[in-house]
Amino acid sequence: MSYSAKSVVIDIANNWGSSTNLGLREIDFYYQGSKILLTQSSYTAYASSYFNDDVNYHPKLAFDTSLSLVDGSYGTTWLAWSYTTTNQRLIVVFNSEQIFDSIVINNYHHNGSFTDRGTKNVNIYISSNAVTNTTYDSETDSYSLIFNGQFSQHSSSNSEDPQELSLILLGGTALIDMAMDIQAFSDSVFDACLDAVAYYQDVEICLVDISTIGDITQDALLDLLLSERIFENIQTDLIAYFQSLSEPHLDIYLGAWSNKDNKLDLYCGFEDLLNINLDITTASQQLKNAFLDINIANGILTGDAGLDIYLGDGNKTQNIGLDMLTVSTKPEYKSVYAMHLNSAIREL
Amino acid sequence: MAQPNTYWLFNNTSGDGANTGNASGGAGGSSSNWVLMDLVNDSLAWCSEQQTDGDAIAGTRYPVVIPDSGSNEAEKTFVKDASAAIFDQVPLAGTTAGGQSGGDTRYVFAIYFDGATAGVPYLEAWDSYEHSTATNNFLGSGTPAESSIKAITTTNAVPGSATWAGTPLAGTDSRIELDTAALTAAKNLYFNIKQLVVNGTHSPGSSTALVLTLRYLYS
Repeated sequence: MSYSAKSVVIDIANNWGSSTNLGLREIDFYYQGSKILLTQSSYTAYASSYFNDDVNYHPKLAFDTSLSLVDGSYGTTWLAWSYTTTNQRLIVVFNSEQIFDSIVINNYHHNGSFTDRGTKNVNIYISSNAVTNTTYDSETDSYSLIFNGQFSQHSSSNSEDPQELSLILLGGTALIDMAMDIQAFSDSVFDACLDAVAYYQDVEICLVDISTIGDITQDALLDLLLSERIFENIQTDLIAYFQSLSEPHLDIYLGAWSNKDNKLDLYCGFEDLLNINLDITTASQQLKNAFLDINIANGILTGDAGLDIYLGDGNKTQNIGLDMLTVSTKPEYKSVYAMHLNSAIREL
Repeated sequence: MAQPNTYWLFNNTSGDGANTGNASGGAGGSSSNWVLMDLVNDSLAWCSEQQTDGDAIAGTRYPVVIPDSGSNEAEKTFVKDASAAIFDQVPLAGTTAGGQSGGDTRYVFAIYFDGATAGVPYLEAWDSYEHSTATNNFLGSGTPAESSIKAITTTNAVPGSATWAGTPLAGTDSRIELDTAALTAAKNLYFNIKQLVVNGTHSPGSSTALVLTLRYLYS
């Protein structure tokens, strides 16, 4: 069976007889026959003590699989504080919950000698928590016992001497899932295809990102549902301006109020402005140099009237107050030119 | 002890009452009603306010909207009930920031254990049922603290705040304990959960592979 643990807690009761030291060379974890390779960045280790607070006997050394299992113990082995030979706790806390199915230890030795310093009677627990309590035999009710026995004394030779522990069988770890169906849309659909549902969502809840709309309209047909949604809170008729865009990246906001260099085709606007006054003053403030195609007036003027009116051509065109009904008297292929607010329309 | 059976339930009312029906659910305390989830076919879904309790699963899905700036808690929480083919709302889910009836409430989701466990049960979130990664954008893209799924244990008490922050769920690195110790007998464990999407952290998208996982040890 396999074990899943965030922490492995090793409670060491005593050693193999030394009166001066208690130590352990290495504890290795295996899963499906392979050693789980651990470096000191893979885990955090704690112990009740380590030899004279010398990092070369730090508990982290006991779990580092890159260290040698032969030769001297300095820099490769955990060793408890001087003359501390009983009741020590050694802990490894993995960065992420680790799954293993067996544990192999190499007990203390120094060039094959001093093996009586090795760990003897041991309880090993696992926990799904990050355990940092280094007090021997404490809080064990919160952990699951997986080993209760002895570590073999290392052989009297300068060699590896692995011992696989007989672990206590637990029932196992159960993982029970519930599916999550997650969807999220942005209120700024910067480069999305026009998705009616998505857009509907965005527009209803959020302020419309006009620049986004400009991007989206590059190739997209106007989504009328979108326009309906934003009608109430926006100060321009997007239907008109959407349909009249001649430049793909025209920002609608600019299109409404700052369309300085673009041709604004009011023909579409005409259809959407049936019931409101066409506020030329507003448009003219930002359309000083624009070409205004008066084909908008086709429905009012005669069908053959190629009437072109230039606004902002150097003359002060605001406040002209051009009365279309006046012009609608069938000028018949004539052109008109509004010179001034108070000028009479004259034939050229 | 044998492996306990577990049952996931949700309260589809605004009545903040315990699941007295245990594995069967049904009417509970304070006019609550507990519905047993089908873990094979049902799924948990967060939606915008446009989604309505009882909407057909086959109909329009109104996702959570990532705001232009700041964060946005999912306005509504549902269990997509496959057998009834509807979005069944969990009105007490989330916080008051989400716009449902939730907040400092306790009895929202329940997992009923019919026996003891050998360790504390956990609630986790993973990319898939393989439980090997938790790097989906909705789970924080590898930064567990940035997971959009946040949960809080209410087994023993209310959250203590109507706008509880919760713990982001992502793998084993960031998860919640559903109780304070291993279970010694049958018990209902309760939790609340929300989705909080953050501009600049979470991206428009969708996933049906993500799973909410109950992990427990048994002996």
